[in-house]
Amino acid sequence: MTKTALFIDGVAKVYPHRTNPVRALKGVSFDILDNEFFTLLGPSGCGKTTLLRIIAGFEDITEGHVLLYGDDISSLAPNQRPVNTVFQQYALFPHLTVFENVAFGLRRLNRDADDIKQRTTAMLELIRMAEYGDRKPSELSGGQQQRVALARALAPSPKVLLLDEPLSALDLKLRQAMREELKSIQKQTGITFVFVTHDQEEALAMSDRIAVMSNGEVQQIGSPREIYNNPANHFVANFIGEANILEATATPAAGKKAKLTFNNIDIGTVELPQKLDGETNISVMVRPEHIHLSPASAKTKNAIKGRVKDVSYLGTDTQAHIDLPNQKEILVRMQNNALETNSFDVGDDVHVTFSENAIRLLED
Amino acid sequence: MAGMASPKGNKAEASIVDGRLGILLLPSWVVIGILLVIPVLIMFVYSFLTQDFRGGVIWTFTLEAYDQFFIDRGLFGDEPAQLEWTYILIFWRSFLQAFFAMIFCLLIGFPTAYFMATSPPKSRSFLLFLVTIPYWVNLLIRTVSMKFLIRDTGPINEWLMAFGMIDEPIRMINTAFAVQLGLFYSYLPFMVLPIYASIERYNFVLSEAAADLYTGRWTTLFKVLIPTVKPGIIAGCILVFIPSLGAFLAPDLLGGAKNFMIGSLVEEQFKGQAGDWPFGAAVSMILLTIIMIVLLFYARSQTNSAGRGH
Repeated sequence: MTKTALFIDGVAKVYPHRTNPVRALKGVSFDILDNEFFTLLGPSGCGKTTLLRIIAGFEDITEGHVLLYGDDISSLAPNQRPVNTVFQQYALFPHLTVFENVAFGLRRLNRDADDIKQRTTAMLELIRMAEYGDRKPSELSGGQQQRVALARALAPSPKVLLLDEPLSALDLKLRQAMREELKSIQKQTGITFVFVTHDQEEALAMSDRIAVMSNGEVQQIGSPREIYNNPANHFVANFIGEANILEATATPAAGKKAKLTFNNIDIGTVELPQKLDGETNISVMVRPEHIHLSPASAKTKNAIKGRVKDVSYLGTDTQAHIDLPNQKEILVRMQNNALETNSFDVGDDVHVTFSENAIRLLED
Repeated sequence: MAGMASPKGNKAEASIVDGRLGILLLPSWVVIGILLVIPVLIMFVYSFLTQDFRGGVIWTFTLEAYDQFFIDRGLFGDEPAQLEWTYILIFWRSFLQAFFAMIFCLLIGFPTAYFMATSPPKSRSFLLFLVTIPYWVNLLIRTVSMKFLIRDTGPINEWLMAFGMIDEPIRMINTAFAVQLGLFYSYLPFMVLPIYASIERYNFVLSEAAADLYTGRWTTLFKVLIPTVKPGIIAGCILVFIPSLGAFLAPDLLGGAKNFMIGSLVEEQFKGQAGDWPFGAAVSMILLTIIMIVLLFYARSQTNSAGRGH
């Protein structure tokens, strides 16, 4: 069984204020496993950075505990915690060389000189910057500073590495390259990474598990696949990728099953958590890429009729908004293929279909 | 980030701009010339001229002024030449006074600047305003007021005696302490302001990063904050040390005859008809030379450390 690296136990944070104190974290609990790439994902103000700063020790805790491999570290000062942080703006020491920046933590830990030299050199090699040891941070590009910040935080071999939106200041290409690099460094070093980001694509690409946060609460924890395929609620469905939320009518069928209809069109049968008593309205989610469009002229079974509102050609995909007769619009995303079969024009009448396997139930 | 501004590729543009730049720089060259170069040249020339007895100079070249500074030939000038210690001692005392004024200003000024720079932005401008208040009053008047405060029958001594903490007044006026107090009081803002400016620009995430890397508060102060704001500290030290060295108000009014400093020595030479202009000019040139040498060494050490790693 995998060990728990960090146990976040009912952590709450209130920023006091005379008139309206801010509840940044409303008592969150979960665990982060040893050797895991764990991501805290959420929009700004969701409490993810506050939680990271609580783990690092920069913010004191209002309620709850943080346990690091079983030891309560909640009351320790930042310099007493065996965790290190990669800061958003890198925070490299401007007066020290790259080598001294990376060696900084080791020197404070009073490691012996040979050990410091060896470890620092190894870290600079890990980030492929061995020949930059004598440079000052101001002489490096953003991507290089980012890598030095990573090496500096990794050098003392922390039990957990905290990363506070470390890629947000980089341009797109570099950001994508750094994702790969971070992921591979995490595998090589075997250190538990806790990564904070608001970028869902970044989170999906790198993480073993993701905690989706909003409003100071954890909305869902799971692997990228689980979170994308089975979002727990409206918030997660909308925040991770794009989602069409449809209000469908459920009528009881055999056992816990229910037949769903939308606009009086039969869209499939799903299993509910408990047996239905009678006809109910429920929210279901369908991902845009799981929806199929066909011309109105085609004979399609159980199709919802709609009209194309707009079409955007995005290179690999084509995206279209479809107006439905008595409800809002839905979003459809189609992969472009060599035959260009996805050519729909604004105003075309279309048939909208999706498989019953594409339907996801959402908690309210 | 922005540290690597590339001078390459701008060469063609630069040479076109150079011509125009010369004209644009003219006003500043004129100001520097009139206010700096010409006065120093006048002093330089005067220091090699002969003293006129009613003040002023006679245009005859002589090394008399420098001879008077360094060499002692006895009262009537007929004894064997020896090193003259009088002025060297005044210099030494002045350097010590200026050095201690700088150290005290730094010890008090740094925490003050730190407090100001870490206060909420709203109260910062108010605190800055407070620091500038003494400058609304002329330095001479402030120094005279200081004299009244610390004299034997001044309020400090009277209160201390009234509360029975001392039996006799503490002798403060006409001591080195009084000079020190005067210099400290006059130049403290010159230490506070540059340090304040650099701490205000300091990124406190660096202190968090240090704490994250197992560094305690005091080590963070000495290994991260102070090295990062060092330019501000050095600017403050120079701004306090140099005017303290040449100060004459504080030593004259508070120090009495025993605490004569370079500033007073120079002042005497140009005052009234008893003055010796060439000698005053020579003392100034010697002081200027020493300061230039110190600053050159400082500039050298700065460029060396900035150039490391290229």
